[in-house]
Amino acid sequence: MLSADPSPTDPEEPRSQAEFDEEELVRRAQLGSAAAFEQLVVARGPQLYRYLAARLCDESDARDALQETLAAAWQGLPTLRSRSRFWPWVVGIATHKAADVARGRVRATEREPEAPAPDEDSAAEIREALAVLPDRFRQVLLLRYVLHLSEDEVASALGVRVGTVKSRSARARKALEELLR
Amino acid sequence: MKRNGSEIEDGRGRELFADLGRQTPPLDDRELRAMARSAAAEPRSPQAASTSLLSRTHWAHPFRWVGATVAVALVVGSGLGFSLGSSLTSPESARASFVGTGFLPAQGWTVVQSGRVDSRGVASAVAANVPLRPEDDLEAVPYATLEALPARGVVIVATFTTRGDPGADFAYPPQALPLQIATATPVPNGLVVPRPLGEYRLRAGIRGTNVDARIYFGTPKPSGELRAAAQRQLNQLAVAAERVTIFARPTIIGEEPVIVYGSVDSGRAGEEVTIQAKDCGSDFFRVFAGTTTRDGGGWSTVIFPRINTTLRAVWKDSASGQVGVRFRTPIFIDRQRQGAGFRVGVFGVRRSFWHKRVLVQRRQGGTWKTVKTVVLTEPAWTKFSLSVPKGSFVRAVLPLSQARPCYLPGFSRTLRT
Repeated sequence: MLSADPSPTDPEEPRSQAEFDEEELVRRAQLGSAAAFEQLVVARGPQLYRYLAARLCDESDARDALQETLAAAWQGLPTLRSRSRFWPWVVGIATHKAADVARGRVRATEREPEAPAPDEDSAAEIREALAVLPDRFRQVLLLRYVLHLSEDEVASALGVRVGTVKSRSARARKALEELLR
Repeated sequence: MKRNGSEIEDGRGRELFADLGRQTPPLDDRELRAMARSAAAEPRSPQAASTSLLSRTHWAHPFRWVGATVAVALVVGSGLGFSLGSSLTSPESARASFVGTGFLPAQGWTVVQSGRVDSRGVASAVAANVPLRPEDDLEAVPYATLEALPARGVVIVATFTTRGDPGADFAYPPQALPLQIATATPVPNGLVVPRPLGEYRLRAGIRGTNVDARIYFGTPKPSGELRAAAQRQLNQLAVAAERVTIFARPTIIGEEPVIVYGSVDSGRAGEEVTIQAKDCGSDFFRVFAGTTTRDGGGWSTVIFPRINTTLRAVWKDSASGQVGVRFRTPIFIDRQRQGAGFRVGVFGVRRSFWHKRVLVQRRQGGTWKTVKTVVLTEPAWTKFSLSVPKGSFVRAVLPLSQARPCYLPGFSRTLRT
């Protein structure tokens, strides 16, 4: 089985200075500071882009989805109540935008993996396997294993209960395992 | 490569997922910053504050495609009688007459604004009875100024957008100038920078323009004197109007419709507006659609252009500016219903594509490689045979050389053979 928790974190662990800084940047961005928003994007954008590229199997689509995500995030920041939840919140937006892009363009699930290097067959294999998984499974796996979100954060990002995330994770891992066997 | 469960169990799965991310070439900081700036350049719509972000409704972000670059647009209203940057205004300049959209500064006030509503339908203005701080990058909310706002300070931030979007217009009841501070709504849990400010909001539809004004007081409970000061500046608000305006979204389309909208300056409901279109290759505008205005003079309708098209709105004897809509060639590839071959072609277009060359590409080694060039022998499609391994991914591409000037290049959906 795949490990149930890809990035175990101690809930009691004090939050890092970086997280506090992020909250301050979020606060400023909520008030309308584009400079603060830019800093947030520089800090979180690369991770978000990697997730979108893995999710959409296409760098161009990932760029589009990222731009859409940022536009929506900027518009919606004033509605974000808990600044400490910024990251799962923005990942949730990205997830929806990725779904929109996948629906609106070439169906990502029918695509061959994007540019696997010759010595990276195994990753290509994972991509192919992911491509045939149902979308709700693929989302959970990518959020957990590419973005290393906790189950709680995945639940927040997808707007589902933690129990749903757990069951989807388990079923997704099992399905993936069968596909890779 | 086959693997068993134990390989995954021992952490290999985690590594494999990590590989997925690592294979993607990273975006550099410059590109990320450009994306952030582009996103933040759009003024926050009124709906953003009250609507869930994850809403799929198109109307939730009525001006998403408008893309106003406020920082760039914030120029002095030269010729409009507006004062410069953070200098205080003399009584003489405050009495100057002007045409434009924004604030004429009241005595002792500073205004910075973009002037007229631009071609994308957005303008903004900031007025303050204190000097604006230089570190404010002239955004919608002057954060540094608000942080240092004294108890007697007042800052008004106004955003102007063109009426016509029904999803937005309902929140802007038609009104006449001047706006009244007495009708402003207090914003609970407003800004805390770091001490609480008093925040009020006024929204009104004025002569084809939606005005969203946020008034910040240096104290949560502004005195009558402070409110009167804010009213004096609100009295200096002016909204210019073009006779008829038009906007479209999106402006690059595939099979989806285009929403066109705008307003007329009479501000009345029931006015007839004609949308005219000039298709690519045509020399004249033809009547394409018609609609009538709603309360406040806004109008909107949905159209389905099937070719690169230029649109304009006509109301009475006035024509709006023009907007262009470009159309991606809708191309398809599928298997023949009978026989072993394939079909490729375009659908739903207004022009013949006879003898246009279509590239058939196969996904191979991580890139798309052209494996065949097919000439359309019928006006819009043709049959062909293709020899590729079973299970290959193929697609059809109509390149720009074949699509122009009246279409954009098109890509089909991917087909697994």
